Amino acid sequence: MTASVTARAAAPGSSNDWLREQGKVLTTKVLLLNFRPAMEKDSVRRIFSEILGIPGDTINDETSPENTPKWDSLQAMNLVVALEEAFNVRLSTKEILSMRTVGLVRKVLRDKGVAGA
Amino acid sequence: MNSVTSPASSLKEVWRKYAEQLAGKEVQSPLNIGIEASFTANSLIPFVGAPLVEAGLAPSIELGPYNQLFQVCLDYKSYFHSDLNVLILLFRLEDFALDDLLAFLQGDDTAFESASSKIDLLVSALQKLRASFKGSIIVNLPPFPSILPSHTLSLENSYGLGKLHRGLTSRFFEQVKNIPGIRICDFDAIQREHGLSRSFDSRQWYLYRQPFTDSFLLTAGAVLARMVKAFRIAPKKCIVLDCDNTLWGGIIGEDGLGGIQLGDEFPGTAYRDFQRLLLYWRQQGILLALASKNNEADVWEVFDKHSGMLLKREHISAWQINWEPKSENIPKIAKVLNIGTDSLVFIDDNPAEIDYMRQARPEVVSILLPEEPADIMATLRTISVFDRHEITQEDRQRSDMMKAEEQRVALGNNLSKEEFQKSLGLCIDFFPAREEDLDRITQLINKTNQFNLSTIRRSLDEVRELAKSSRHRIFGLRVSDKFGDYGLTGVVIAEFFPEGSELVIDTFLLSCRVLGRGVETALLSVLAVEAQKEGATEVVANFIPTAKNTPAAAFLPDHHFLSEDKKLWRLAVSQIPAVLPWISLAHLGGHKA
Repeated sequence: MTASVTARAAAPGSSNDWLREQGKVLTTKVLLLNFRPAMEKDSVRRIFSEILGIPGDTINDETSPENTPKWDSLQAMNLVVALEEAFNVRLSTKEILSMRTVGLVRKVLRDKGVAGA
Repeated sequence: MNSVTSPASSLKEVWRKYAEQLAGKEVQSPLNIGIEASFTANSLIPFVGAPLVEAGLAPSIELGPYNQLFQVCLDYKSYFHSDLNVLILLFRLEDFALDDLLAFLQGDDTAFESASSKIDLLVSALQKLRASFKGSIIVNLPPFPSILPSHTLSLENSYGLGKLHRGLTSRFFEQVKNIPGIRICDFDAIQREHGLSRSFDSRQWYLYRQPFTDSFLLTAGAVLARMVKAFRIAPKKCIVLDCDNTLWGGIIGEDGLGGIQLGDEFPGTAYRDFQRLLLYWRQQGILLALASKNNEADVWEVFDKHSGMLLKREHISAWQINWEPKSENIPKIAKVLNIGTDSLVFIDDNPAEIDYMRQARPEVVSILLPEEPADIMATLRTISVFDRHEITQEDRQRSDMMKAEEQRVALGNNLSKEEFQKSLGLCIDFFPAREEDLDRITQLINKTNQFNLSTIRRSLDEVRELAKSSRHRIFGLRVSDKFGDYGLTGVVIAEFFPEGSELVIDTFLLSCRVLGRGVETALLSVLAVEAQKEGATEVVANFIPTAKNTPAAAFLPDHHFLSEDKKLWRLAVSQIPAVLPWISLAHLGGHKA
């Protein structure tokens, strides 16, 4: 992600559409990486945020049903389905019952081989 | 990371977004739907709601209390806030008559009778509901039971569980079909279509008492949504058909009468089957029309002379057979039939015709005939644009019918909430907790949200400490009735203050499985007996409101407790009623949790 790429994308009157398109794509990725740091990459946080309807920055490893009213047994069902779908894993009932905090959710996923969970 | 979302997840997202932007707003012509189920039904909501949102309706869905179908039928106003337009009642045999099913499998001859009487009771409750509720009612036919020792592929199934399921379903259906205006949703058929092994979610069943997979809920929700939609949105009235490669294989203008494919040989059989479908739709009141780029004479020659044709001239209500663009023929057909173009469905095998029609006439539902003739029937017979409920003469005379029904019901059926509770054979066991009960008690303390006065959470160690305290008493409650044995489902923790003759309730909770039967009051009554034994003259209770314990909010005031601050409530022990005579007190043993 270099200035030259950005410059290429911004070059006026460039007749190379493909290159301009590539430049746009790369520029977008640069912007994302720089200006939306944790959100895009952190799928676990994003899933919890979307399903519970709470802002992503209120979610940390200690987030649990005890301190988060919106995380009830009904949302727990939706969370399990979403996590399985996103990470292509199948959670056993034992694993589901152990996922009492976001930190423990991450641990379960990492133990199942999900990198960077 | 898997970036592909399933259809189920997409629908959940649609519902989530809709519910968010709807929160607190006034809705024009809302569609208020209540769902009452014998199982945990929260997961079903987005699958009923999202298709309705996509159809342009404004649904608001409320869930009734867990497994209280009778209570809801006999007194729906107590359970739903809004003016309900539609009430959906869902039950499964395993939730409703588990003991009977198990007894049947053990060879008990009386089990079928016992289960049948429960079915009859439900029918009575539905009759009562029909007499008191003006909205639309949908009830399901129960699906083939899951999780029992016998299953669909068991060799004995036809004579065993299969026979029981068929018998009970049939008994239910034969009675419900006579109740005016109750629509039936065949959950067994949906489960068959879906596949039972793909329908049952054993993990969610064991963890949450939610028995269905997302994919089953998606299908069931879609069918329920179609039923609800059919109460509000009129079906399409006419289907406009292309001819070549739609009603027959080939092109009449080029292949001639002998060259087109229609009849007993494939692909002629596929087109003949499609004509059968069209005749079926016509029989239901849908008009058939033709829009074909052809010479009229050629088309009519097929209708009049081809032996494979099932459609005849007299089946066609309007036609535009010419070389004009079909998008201009459409309004002409609509005019002849005196209907709007938005009542039309257009079917053609040519993707370009479909594309063009969608752009030129977006109000017409344009459907592309599958290229593969073998897929024609499979794809087209499932379209839902013609969904409608049979509006019977009885429906039209609803208000007159209801008066007559009310009288009939009043004469022949004395089922009321009180009668129902009396008939339950409710049995409770209120006992001081022993060491071996503390595990289950701690579990209840930490997971019971709804009927919980104080929602105080404690660890097992904390509960053990409390058990040792001489001022505290920990009680457990076991409950059973004719529908089943629910096990240890209630906890009371009380502190005795001999100086002030007070018994202070620290914890008073019941599992939602046993609510709505009179257990709430009975628990207070048996606690009062204990209070008297200890010499207490007053019961004091703390009510701490949470987001989830609204069901418990009315309990203390309803029982005449008084409070100055709505937090601390008091009542003299002498004012607490004794246990009602039809509830028996017993020692219910066992380790069922």
